[in-house]
Amino acid sequence: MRAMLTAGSGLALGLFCLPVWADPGMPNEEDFLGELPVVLSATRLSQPRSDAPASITVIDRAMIEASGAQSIPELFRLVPGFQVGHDTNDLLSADPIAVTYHGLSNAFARGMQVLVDGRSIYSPDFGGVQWHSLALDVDDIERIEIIRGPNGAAYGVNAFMAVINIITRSAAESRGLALRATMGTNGERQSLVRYGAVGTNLDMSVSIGFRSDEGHGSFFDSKQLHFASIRGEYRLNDRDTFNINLGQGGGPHQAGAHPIAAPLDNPMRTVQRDGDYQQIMWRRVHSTDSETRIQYYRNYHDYRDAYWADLIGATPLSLPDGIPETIINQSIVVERQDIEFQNILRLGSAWRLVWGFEGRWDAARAPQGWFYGMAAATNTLYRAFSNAEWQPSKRWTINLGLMGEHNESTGLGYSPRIGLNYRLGTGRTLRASYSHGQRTPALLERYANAVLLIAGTPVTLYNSAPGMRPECIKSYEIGYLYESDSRRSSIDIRLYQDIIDDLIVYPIDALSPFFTATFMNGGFANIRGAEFEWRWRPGGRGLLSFSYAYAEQTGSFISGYSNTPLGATYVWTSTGATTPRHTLNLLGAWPMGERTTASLNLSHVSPMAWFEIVTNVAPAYNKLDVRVAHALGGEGGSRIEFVAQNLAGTFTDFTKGVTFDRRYYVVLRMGLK
Amino acid sequence: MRSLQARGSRLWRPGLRRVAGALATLFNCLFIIAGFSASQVHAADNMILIVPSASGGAYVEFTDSLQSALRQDGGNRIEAVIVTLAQLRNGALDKYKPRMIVAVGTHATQAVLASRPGAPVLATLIPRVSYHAILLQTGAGSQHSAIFLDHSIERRLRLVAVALPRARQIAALAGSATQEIVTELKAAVSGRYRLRVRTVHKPEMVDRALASVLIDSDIFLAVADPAISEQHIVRNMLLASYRHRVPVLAYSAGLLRAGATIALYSTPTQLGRHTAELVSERARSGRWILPRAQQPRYYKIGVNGHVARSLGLNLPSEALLMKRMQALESRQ
Repeated sequence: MRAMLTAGSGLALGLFCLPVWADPGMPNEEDFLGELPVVLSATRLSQPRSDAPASITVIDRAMIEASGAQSIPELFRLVPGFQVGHDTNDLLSADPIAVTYHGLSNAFARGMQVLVDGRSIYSPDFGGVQWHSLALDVDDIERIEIIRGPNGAAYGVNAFMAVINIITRSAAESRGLALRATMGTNGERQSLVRYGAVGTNLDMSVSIGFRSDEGHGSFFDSKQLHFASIRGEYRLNDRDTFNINLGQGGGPHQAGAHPIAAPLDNPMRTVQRDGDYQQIMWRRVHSTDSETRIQYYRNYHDYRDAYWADLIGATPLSLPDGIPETIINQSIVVERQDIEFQNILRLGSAWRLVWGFEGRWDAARAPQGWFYGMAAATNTLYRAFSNAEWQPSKRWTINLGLMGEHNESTGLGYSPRIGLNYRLGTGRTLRASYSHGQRTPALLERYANAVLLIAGTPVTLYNSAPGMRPECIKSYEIGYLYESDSRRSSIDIRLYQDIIDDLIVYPIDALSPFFTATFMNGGFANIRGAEFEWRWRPGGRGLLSFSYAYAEQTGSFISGYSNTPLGATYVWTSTGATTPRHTLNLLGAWPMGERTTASLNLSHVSPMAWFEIVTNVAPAYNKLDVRVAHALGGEGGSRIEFVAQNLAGTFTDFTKGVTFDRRYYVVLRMGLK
Repeated sequence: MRSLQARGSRLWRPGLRRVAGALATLFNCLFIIAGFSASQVHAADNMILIVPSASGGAYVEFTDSLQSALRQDGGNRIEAVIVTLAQLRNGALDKYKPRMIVAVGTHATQAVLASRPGAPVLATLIPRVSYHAILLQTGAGSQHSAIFLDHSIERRLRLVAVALPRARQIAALAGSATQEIVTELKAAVSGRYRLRVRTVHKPEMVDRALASVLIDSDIFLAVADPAISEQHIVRNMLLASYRHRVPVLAYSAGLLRAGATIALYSTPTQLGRHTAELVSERARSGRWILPRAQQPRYYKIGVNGHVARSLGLNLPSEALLMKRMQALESRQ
């Protein structure tokens, strides 16, 4: 025994001489007792809907795919109270698409703050969003959060009617290589290559895409866009993370009136648009509910459109028809730079505070066109904001928000917001809130000076009235939210009243020799309505989403004026027709067998007019899209899809003349991991 | 005795017999005293060795808790001596003759069992699957048992029942090292919950596996497996489950703070206390036979209020959850 023991110990000694590691293939106590960096930190954890002072609609990946949408604006039809209008052939800009909430808009729907990963994509020059030239594809989107109602306190000015927050897919979510090719009627071609890689400290994803289409039937509006974007997240250590997003996109776009209509002031031509953006953000997590963030971004957009035109008709200085007499230069270069600091912290068990400040510099250069003779139209903005969430008891949540802003063009402004949420118990919440929003005039509205030289004489087509005030909105609402225990079903009801004043309009001076339009404050509206949203996820691949909005709008705006020596006289026209009475959407998806999913997307919008021509009311329409997707197997989620759009008949969603008829698409998706 | 005395009475004179009797009594007393002192020495033999895997941190917390609990148990006079791995290598086992060796941590367990000690070995601060793997490696040797770091599947399911009574589907991810947990899980849930579990062999497989198990699940049971415990994989797991609105049941306080929703875990102090009780029981009975390897007796239930609220979950307080758990456990 003893001898064996000795031998045993000798062997044991031998074992100890070799490095005896705990087997790396096995867990050890470090996994159970060690520290981990906080992942779900304050900014990652969204405020639960039951605590939010507004109605929030979330469009997630499943809904995005079920909708069959081939462009991003189409997705907003799924949100209660939203409308989408496609203009084309507009003199101002190639093919603007308007995404509006409660209507009351022209083609450059300016009443919304739209963000992509925290970076505003609102165009400072004309307002609105250039949806066509976004370096972003539908497949890049993870989800969209829409806050219905003004949210100036948290999102600053221009969070006027609503806030749209587009969140892109992280690299972890879309690891590996993904390819998509789309072919459709109307010359629709799309291709997208996405690649995502995840590492210990660095996640990165790259998207490169191309899309082209021939526009609407008889119009000269085909377009192409190529774009590329890189998104990276670098984790320096347990507390610090850097996010870097870069993107670029551009391409040609046909413009001009149809050759048969042939106005020679809008000849057929090709315009070029290019843009790029850079965004960098640093986040430091102090603890589970305390975080600091500093962000910088820059947006740049260059639109080139200059041509000889022949002005027809009434301009007294014009030469006989058929001889080009002036250059119409609609080229414009826009740049926005923004720095924002934000801190989230907890003050005691009942108080949570988000506060920060922001500086923004906008500049638009169009010295031969819109801002004639000016080096640049600029606006500098400084904003301080804070939002406190107070939970005095388990049932009550009170949100108090305040934003103060100073900008070059309109001076100092405030946007307060108060929301009271009361939990009735088991997933039911009652909410009342009041908020104040402001919309600063876009650079064009504030500094317009569109001058044409006709036979050497400057002719002003657009100008701006001095002393312009921001548009303002006061919004009252009562809301009810129900979320089932299993979170499979939810109902959101919202009753609201919006009082809007100082709408910025651009009536034409009837007495001006050149039909000068002047941007000025000249409108008000009162919107009252109710919105209903029901979501149901029975499980598996099924989903059902129903949205309905009812709205009544009364108001008036200056549609014309005459600047007589005795003073100005104004013509007021009702705005009532610009908000549709009913907006409805039904989206349903259901599995048909192991690998196939079918979905249906039905929208209905009541008659609706747009500010361009308020008397030109687009009739009520129904839009029905059907999609069938079939999984092809393999690790990467490859599938083939067939989409048929506009099956409920031809319709127009903006001005009469731009019609949508039946369209078909085939989409092939391949993934390689 | 009698026969000797009988023989003695023929040889010895009566006076000497009295002296012999006195001497015998003296010797008896001496023997008794010696025996007594011997038992004093044996009292000090209620000695155990504690072998931590490293110095500092959780090991110190554990040994401090163990030693102080043993000291409070005065009746059994248990002496606990801490022996480092280096000392073990230099033959500490031969110097001391412990009743039991408490190995603290995976490394120490491996080292102690490999050294084939004569005394029974109690492995502590070790995950269940690692303990089994070490046993396979070192083969049958000394008597051995363990107090695991992880809790049984049954106990974890009890927490699910208490915290999320409406849960119907459980998701889990495991690696090749934790297959036995998968087997146990499958057996335990049958009839009570639907189970979605996947085994991951390569880190690249994790995201897809996660996405497939999280769909329609009501809770994700985190499993500690090297294939899925690298920091960035844990990170993706927390982000993915949050995205799917699925709460995570963590196995550690660290994972809870990182972003899980609830956790069932034991602190080194609690484990030290459990170990001390086990040692005291052995000392009291005098039989140093180790019980079967077991889960921790004492545990904490943690709730990450921020995550729970963000997910819209109305979870009871930690104290209430503990009360309900203990009620359930006492019924078993």
